[in-house]
Order: sequence, then C-alpha cells, then structure tokens
Amino acid sequence: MGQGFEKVFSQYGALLSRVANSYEANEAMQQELLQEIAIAVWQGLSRFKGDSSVKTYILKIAHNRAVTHVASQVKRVDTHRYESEELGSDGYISSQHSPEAVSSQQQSLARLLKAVRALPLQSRQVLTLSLEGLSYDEIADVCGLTKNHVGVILKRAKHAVMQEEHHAQ
Amino acid sequence: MHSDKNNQQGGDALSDLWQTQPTNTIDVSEVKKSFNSERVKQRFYILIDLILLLPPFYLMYLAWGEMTFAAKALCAFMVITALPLLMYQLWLRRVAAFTKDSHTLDHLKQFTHQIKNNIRIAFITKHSAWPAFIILPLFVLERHLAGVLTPEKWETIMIAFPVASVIIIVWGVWAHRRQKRFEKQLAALQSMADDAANRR
Repeated sequence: MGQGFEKVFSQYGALLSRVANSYEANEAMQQELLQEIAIAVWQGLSRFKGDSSVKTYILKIAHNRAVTHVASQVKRVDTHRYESEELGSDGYISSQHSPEAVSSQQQSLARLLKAVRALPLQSRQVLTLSLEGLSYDEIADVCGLTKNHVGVILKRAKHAVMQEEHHAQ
Repeated sequence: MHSDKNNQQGGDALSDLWQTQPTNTIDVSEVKKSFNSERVKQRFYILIDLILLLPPFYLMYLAWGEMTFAAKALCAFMVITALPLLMYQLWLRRVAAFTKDSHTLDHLKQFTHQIKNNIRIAFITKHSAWPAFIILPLFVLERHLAGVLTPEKWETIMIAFPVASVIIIVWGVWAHRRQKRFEKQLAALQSMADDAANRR
C-alpha cells in the first residue's frame, strides 16, 4: 500500500495542495490541511474499488476532509486573525512587495484565489473541481448533485468570480 | 443544456490561471508517521475507555457480599448509566476514525450528526458531574447508617471529599467547554449545509 500511496501522491500531490489552498488562505494552515488530506487519502485508498477514477475518488476524500477541517477550526481563536492579516496576500503575493514588482498574472491569481475562497461551499467546490478538469458527471458524483445543478452552480460561480475580476480592474 | 464541452471551453482561461498557483509538497514521511500514530492513538483511547470501567467492576465484585441493598442499588444505577454511554462512546470513536468517501452532501449530514452526538455526550458528561455531589454523600450516609464508619474513616472522608469535589468541578467545566466548542462547530457546519441545500 505504501508504494501505491507514494505514486498517487507524486501524481496528484499538486492537485491536493490546490484543494487545501481553496479552503485556507494562510500558508501554514494550507500545509496543515494538506497533511490532513494526505492522511485521509492514505486511509481511503485501501478501500478504493475502482468505481470511479482515482482522481475523482481522492478529490471526494480531500473535499470531505477540508469541510471537516473548516468546521473544526472554529475552536481555534486565531484562525480569523490569520486570515484577516493575510487576506489579499494569500501567501503568494506579499503585501510587502510593491505592485510593480508583482506580475499581472500573479495579481490575477491572487484575486482568483480570494474570490474562490469567498464563494459558498458548494459553489467553491463545483468551480474548483471544474478548474481541475472534472466532467459534470464526476463533479455531480463528488458533490452529491445532479448534472443540471452542477451546470447552474458552475455558471453562477464563474459569474461571481469574473465579476470580482472586473471590479478589480 | 450544459455540456462538458462548454464547461471545458468556458473554464479554459480560469483553469489555466488556476493551475499556475504555487503548491505545497506533501511530506510523505510525516504522513506515514501521523497515520500510524493516529491509529495507535485511536486504539489507545478505546483501550482506556474499556480499562476505566474495570476498577469499579472489580471493587463491586470484591465488596458485593458486604454491601447493603441501598449500596447495591446505587452501584447498579451507576453501571446502568455508564455502560450504554461507553458503548456509544466506542461507536463514535469508530465512526470518527473511519475516513469518509461519500459525496460531500452526505459527508456534511453525517458529520453534522456526529457533532450533534458529541454535544449530547458532552451534555450528559456535564450533567453526570453534579449528581456525584448527591451520590457521594448518599454513600457516606449509607455507610454511616450501616454503622461501619469509624473516626479514622471519617478523617479519610474529610480529606477525600474536597479532593473529589475539585475533580468533579473540573470535570464539569471541561465538559461544558467541550459542549460549547461542539456547538460552535455545529453552527459552522449548519451554515455550510444550509447554503448547500439552498443551492440544490
């Protein structure tokens, strides 16, 4: 199991990290959530029966773990402080740097991440799964929605994110 | 109406941007370590839950023949309330240790249910603390009426009572804090679940 697990991580490690990034703004918290997700995936892989692709299966586990993590964070009084201190920087673009030093793509990415994290849970999930290239059927399977609902939610989520982008420009 | 192809085309620019974000690396050795220690921890908790029940049973076994009817009734009451609670606790530990691969809506429902259970357990734990202030004096009264309390035993009781009281108060406060923490978690979860349900 150990080797299979490492193979899955080398293939999907970045994907899992992006899931963590969509739930947590602070870099330390992202790393913590990523480790939690990794443990959950390790546990889950032993029960994988091949009913879906490995990617869909681990994304399902990762999002469930992230939901649990977010709910559990209410006991940590410093979570909001963490977020408010770093909001806008997202751990990637430091507010210490001058705007000139930050590339346009990095600014767009920071705005995208901020807008994604501001979305309600389901919209965030549907949008990020879509950005990872999952089909409507696969997204519906992960979220427990119908294919039509996925379409509706995705359209609204994209609209909300694009509006944020327009406001920023 | 919404084809996968449209989804792909519409999301291309965003998707490309999304994929450029820096990612963290998974510390595999740390994951292995955490996975193993978590498994050991869960087993240890289950063992502790079971072991904690043994001393009272052993003491009851030793002293059952010398107990009056009232003392036996008090012991029986404590066992009857403690056993179902223990079974429930063990079931919850098993559920908590099991990784969920259900879809998110199901996970939200299950997790919400689990947090509600945790609130109930914390509530029961909290309210199992103060009856000790009644049960302990009742035991002493029963022993006194049975005429087995010597002055030396009274001295021991005078020391044991304040110690037991402090333990019971700490126990009650701890359970109250746990209950409040789980209530906050539940509020956060319900807001997520409501939001998800409203969008269906």
